[in-house]
Amino acid sequence: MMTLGELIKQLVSHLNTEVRIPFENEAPWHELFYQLKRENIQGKPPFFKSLRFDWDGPYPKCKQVTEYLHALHWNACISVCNPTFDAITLPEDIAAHWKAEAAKLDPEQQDFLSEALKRAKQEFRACPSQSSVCNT
Amino acid sequence: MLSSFKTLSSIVSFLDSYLEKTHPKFFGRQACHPYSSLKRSKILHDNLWGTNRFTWRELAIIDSPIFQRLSFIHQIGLAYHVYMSAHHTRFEHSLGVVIIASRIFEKILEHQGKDVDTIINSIWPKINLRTQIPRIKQELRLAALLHDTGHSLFSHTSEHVYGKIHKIQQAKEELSDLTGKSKGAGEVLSFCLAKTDSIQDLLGRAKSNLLEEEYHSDEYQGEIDFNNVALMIVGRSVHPYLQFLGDIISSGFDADKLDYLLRDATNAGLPLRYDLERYLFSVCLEKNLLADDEGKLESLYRGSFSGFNLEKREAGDYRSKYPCYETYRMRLPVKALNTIEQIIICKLMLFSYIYHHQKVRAAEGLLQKILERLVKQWRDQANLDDDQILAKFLDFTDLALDGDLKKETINTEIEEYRYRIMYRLLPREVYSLGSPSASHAERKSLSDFLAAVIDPDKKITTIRQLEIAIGSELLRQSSNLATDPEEALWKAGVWVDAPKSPEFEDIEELIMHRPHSGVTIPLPRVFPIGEWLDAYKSFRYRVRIFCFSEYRELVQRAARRAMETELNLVSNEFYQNILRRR
Repeated sequence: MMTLGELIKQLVSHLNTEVRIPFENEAPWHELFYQLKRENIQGKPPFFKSLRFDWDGPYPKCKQVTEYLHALHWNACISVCNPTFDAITLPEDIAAHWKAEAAKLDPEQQDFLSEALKRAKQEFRACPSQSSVCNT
Repeated sequence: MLSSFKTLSSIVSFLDSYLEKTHPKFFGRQACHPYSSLKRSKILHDNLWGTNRFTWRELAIIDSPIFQRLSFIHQIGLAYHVYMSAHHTRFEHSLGVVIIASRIFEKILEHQGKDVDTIINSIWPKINLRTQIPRIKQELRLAALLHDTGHSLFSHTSEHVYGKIHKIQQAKEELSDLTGKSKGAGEVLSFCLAKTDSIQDLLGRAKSNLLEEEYHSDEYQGEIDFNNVALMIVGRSVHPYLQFLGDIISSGFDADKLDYLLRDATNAGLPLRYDLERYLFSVCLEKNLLADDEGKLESLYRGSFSGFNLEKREAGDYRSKYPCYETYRMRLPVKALNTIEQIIICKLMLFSYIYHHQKVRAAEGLLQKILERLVKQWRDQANLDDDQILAKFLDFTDLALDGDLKKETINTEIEEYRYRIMYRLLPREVYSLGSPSASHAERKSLSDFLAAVIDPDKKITTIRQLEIAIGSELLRQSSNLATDPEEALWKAGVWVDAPKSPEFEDIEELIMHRPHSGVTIPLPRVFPIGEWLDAYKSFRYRVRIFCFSEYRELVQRAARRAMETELNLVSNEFYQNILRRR
């Protein structure tokens, strides 16, 4: 069964070259996970049941999502665009390596991943960049 | 008040009976303290914040066992094994938080007194402002005073262990349902302590025993709302307009952080500073929104905990996607950037120098192992339930290391570990892995491992698998060491340590927009936080393999073999990079 970390890795590796994946502005990540938790989507991994959202600002915020994103950056699995700390980038070889893991998922979870990717693209595209230039 | 939160209310009742049983002179039916008449206030002197006045309510709590035990709990756990002067405790820290919280509140009154008056008038239109402002100030100070009373021995190390008790986990979930915020085990206990009858009765006795003397002009004479005190401890308040009070006690740049950063650095002898005066000069209130799609805040604010008949805004109002409440938050304007930078750098440096120091991690790892074994023993051999285990943790302070803990561990295999902490026979790093340790060929395998040790659903099993593989290798290489891998690991003092990265939670939201422009300035535009974090992670963040010195060579071979097979990390160069040499 897909874990929270695996889902985030899949989203980052699949969208790596398609959209700007926000990092500094976490709101789209939280909005995405809140939607995925709230809605009835086939193949939803069980970890969503224990995902909790804090109501301490203008949008719901999931501590586990924040912690995982930051820890990924912290232990240098992912990089972020400097100087604005704006978007996530992933080396191509790591992206391909993580993507390959999706093939091991059962068909229901693959469907869920496709749905999550579709929604992630919408959320991330709607998130304005903090900078016009992003040096990678 | 807590009737629909069964675990929280059960912990509050448990705490009342625990306090009555352990300190009958202070709490419960036979209580008689404070014996002698109390002064209305006293002056206390703090090494960081100087001379300050404390009220009779605060003094009654300070002079009770609930608070006195904090003077036997080191603020930064076992860090004194590395920084020998770091013997400061939760006691002086808590007093420091009262002082700083009070100063922030006073500065907000000074800067935006009219806004505060408007807030108070709209919450309590029929009550005199002159009584309500001293009241919320006193409640804020009590929350600051009580915010760490839930701690047990060596602070966060024991919190990791008692935080796993089923009842505490349930209580954490209930608290998150009650307040719409996730909080740690220590905060859950502090919240529950603030809700006990024991504390309210203590203050009741203190009030009836006050000396007949003139009182200070801003002393509050009326009743305290302990719901508000308890909520502030976990970063909330009884009304959304009073959210800034919760922010002062528990948020990204709260009074807690302002005190511990300077206190930890000063007592460890590190020359780290930040500009508190500038912070206080700048701190302000900002009108904002609290979204509430799940209705948790609605239950809180309208339910028996708060009891306000509040208007909740519909989704769409104020361009909010969710139903929401208007609120006032504590904020720092962009012009306070220097202070913000200093606080972030100070926190990073403290992680690097103290909290993640290899010997500090080694000592804390040993203590955690002792406590985990003890909890298992209490459960399996003594049949203790959650309340009884919790009582043990409430009994323990750091003095237990050479007292109660010694009694508990004598004639068991745990005693060896206790002795090692006591006399600084600490484990050593054998290997230290970080992302830059890997060459191109190993990058994928290492990234898999590093991503797994931070995944909440995989961390424990990933680390455990590697440890068991090391244990099996130890047995293969030295069959007389133990009878099974678990025992081999214990004997050689081996574990894999993956510390949690520092949190910079909500920093973005704590920085106020440029006034009147509606433009948000992203923090990294003005301060390169990303580069600082990159630098830290490259040079400082490490997953470590520890063992006792006398088994170093054996563990070095076994751990390498285990990493080769488990993690597919095979090159000589990699092991040369990660090996820790003297």
